[in-house]
Amino acid sequence: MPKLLLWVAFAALALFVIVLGAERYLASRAVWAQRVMTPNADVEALFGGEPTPIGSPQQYVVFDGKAFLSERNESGVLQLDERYLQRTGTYPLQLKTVEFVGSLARWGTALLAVLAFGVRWLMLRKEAGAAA
Amino acid sequence: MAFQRCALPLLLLLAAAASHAQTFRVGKEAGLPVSQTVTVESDADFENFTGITHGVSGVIRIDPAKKTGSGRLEIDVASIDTGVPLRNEHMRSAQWLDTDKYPTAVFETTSVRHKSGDTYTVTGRLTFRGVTRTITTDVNARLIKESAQSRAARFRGDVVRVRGQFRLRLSDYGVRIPDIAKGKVAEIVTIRFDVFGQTG
Repeated sequence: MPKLLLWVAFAALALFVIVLGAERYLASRAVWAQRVMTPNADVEALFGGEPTPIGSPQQYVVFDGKAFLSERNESGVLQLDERYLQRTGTYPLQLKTVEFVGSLARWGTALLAVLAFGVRWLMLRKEAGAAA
Repeated sequence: MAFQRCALPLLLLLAAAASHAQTFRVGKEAGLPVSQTVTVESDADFENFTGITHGVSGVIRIDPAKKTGSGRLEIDVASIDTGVPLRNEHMRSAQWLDTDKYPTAVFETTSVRHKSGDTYTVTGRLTFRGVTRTITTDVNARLIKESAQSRAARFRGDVVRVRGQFRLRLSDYGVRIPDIAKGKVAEIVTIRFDVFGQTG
């Protein structure tokens, strides 16, 4: 049993490191962007090409470069083409989701490692006491 | 009797002359070549999600001379799409938007005051989930007169584009967020609208 607990503790620590690494990697790929619906040709002809914003600017992790419009908005923020996202069935991942899930996973794996080490230590102590 | 016969059309004519208000029809039945957009954004810990609907219909009346107007818009709440089918299903349930019972939200203006340029301060009553509350917000209303360009863009008559946003507290309209969903749905959501109307 103590051997199994040691395995569990190390597996939890390994998971902790993997989660942390994945979180760091995704955070490094995140960019501030505004989802926008580009106007159709009729609207553009009359009211200009300013797109309709969908929600507020967020930090998104989007690997497909074609999802971004070539022009930034008036605040200098990148623009994510909602029509492209809908066409390709892409739901853009937000950095805050990565951080939220990452934080839960890190706490979970850390707690599991501490518990496994703790229980193993108690068991070994009990066994040593019995042997003495 | 003859006087009455003449007076009524005359009064109607005078009333029409005194008011230069134009009526713009909004929505699919108005035959507009563009879609309306209303978005609902929830800024929660887990993520910001935005629901989108193009189901908006109604009328907007604008008097350019007096720089005032009025309007009534109906939003198809049941057609709001958040990009996740399961979330849409939950959102339409009785606990949330209860769209079987309240499929639409209605906004009706009570006062429109010109602020500056194309900006107007609009106050109106929003009825959503059977609850009516007053909302005041600034909107941008851009009017385009009928022209060869507007006709080429397949619009009929004069065209108006109205854009704006306001925030609403879900609990004001009877939506109680369960504890389990507290990090996923915000108590206060932002509504943004971008609607078009045409007179023809």
